[in-house]
Amino acid sequence: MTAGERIYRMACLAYPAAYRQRVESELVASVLTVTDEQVNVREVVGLVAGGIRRRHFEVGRRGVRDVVSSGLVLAVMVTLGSVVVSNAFVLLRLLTPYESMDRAAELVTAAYLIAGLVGLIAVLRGQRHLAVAVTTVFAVLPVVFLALGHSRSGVVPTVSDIAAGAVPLLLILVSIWLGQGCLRRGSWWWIVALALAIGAAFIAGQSTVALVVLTAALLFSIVDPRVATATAATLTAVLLTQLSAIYGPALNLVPLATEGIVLTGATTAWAVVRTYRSTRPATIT
Amino acid sequence: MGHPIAWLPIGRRTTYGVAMAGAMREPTYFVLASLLDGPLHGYAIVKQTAELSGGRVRLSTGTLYGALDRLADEGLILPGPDEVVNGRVRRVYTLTAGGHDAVQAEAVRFARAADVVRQRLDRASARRLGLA
Repeated sequence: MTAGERIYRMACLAYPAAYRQRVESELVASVLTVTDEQVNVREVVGLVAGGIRRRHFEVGRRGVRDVVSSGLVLAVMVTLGSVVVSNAFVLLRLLTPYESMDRAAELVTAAYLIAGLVGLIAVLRGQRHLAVAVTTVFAVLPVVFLALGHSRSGVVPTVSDIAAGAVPLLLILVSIWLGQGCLRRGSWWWIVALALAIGAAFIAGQSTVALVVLTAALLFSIVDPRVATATAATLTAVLLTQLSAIYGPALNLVPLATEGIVLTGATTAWAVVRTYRSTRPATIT
Repeated sequence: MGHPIAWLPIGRRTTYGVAMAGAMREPTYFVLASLLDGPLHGYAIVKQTAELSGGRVRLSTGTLYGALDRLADEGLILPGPDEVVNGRVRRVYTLTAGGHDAVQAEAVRFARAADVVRQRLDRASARRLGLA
């Protein structure tokens, strides 16, 4: 195998696997003939761009409704995943001997952790009813704590806590309404969800980091618009929590709404436009 | 009863007729035009397209195959079976009747657009020369 062929075959990795298996030999043979077996940067860029376009096309041909629905499922997984990750860390910290032994806080954290884990597994295994039940518990838990007059931190939950708790339920209901609600069999989205969940768990209170994550997700949406949809939905929940921490009990709803709407709107619009464009026939340049 | 948000333009598949009611892009036009003389394989299409467009349209292989896939999906071209020539896999693409009609319609559209401008240019020239 010549250096040129090796590089062109590597560039072909940009194509979806099934498509690559079908056309790689023909594609590489053609590019080697065109370039006389030499490495040509324009051809390498063309192959990578062609691969990305093909990925978009394959996602887009399923329709915008499907993309938004899949994105929302991913967002549910990210939200539940970040709950699991962050509560696992809180529980570890609480269980260390140097921390004050707060039995109630430990129990509440463990409850969140278990509920998050069960919800995540339900979404992964395609058990819609269980997923809805668990996310309903999530939505109800802060209200229960509010009624009991305490929370993990000893502070009464704010409106934002309650709203953030309701987000997974809202997302999963909208996704079911759009015709999905759970992860499809054989999907590899759990890998992306895990990565985003770990990121989301560590960005609480950090608007700058949230913006960096958004930018990274927008860049990733060049490959797949479902990630952009998921990020938009996830960031709304994260922003609710962040702004709750910044503004405390005197929550100012104006900046919350502005920041949330701008970020969510921009990301969702980007996802929809990219998907719609990719479904248009004969739009090569 | 349809989906509650079926009225939204979400998830609708565009058809060739709707999408192509506007203009066909130049590379698409020349890819289809290059197949008018008979079936060609990828490399020959790249060469033919460059020739027909006077060197303006230089398709990279990645762009070409993206275009061929879409045109095949829309039924404008027909990919043939794989064949191995000099140890390399290649496949020929044939223009379908639909593809022939599409490129012909586009050629007529281009010709009409050119006629309109040519007539106006002639009138303007005549005015300048004081003939009108």
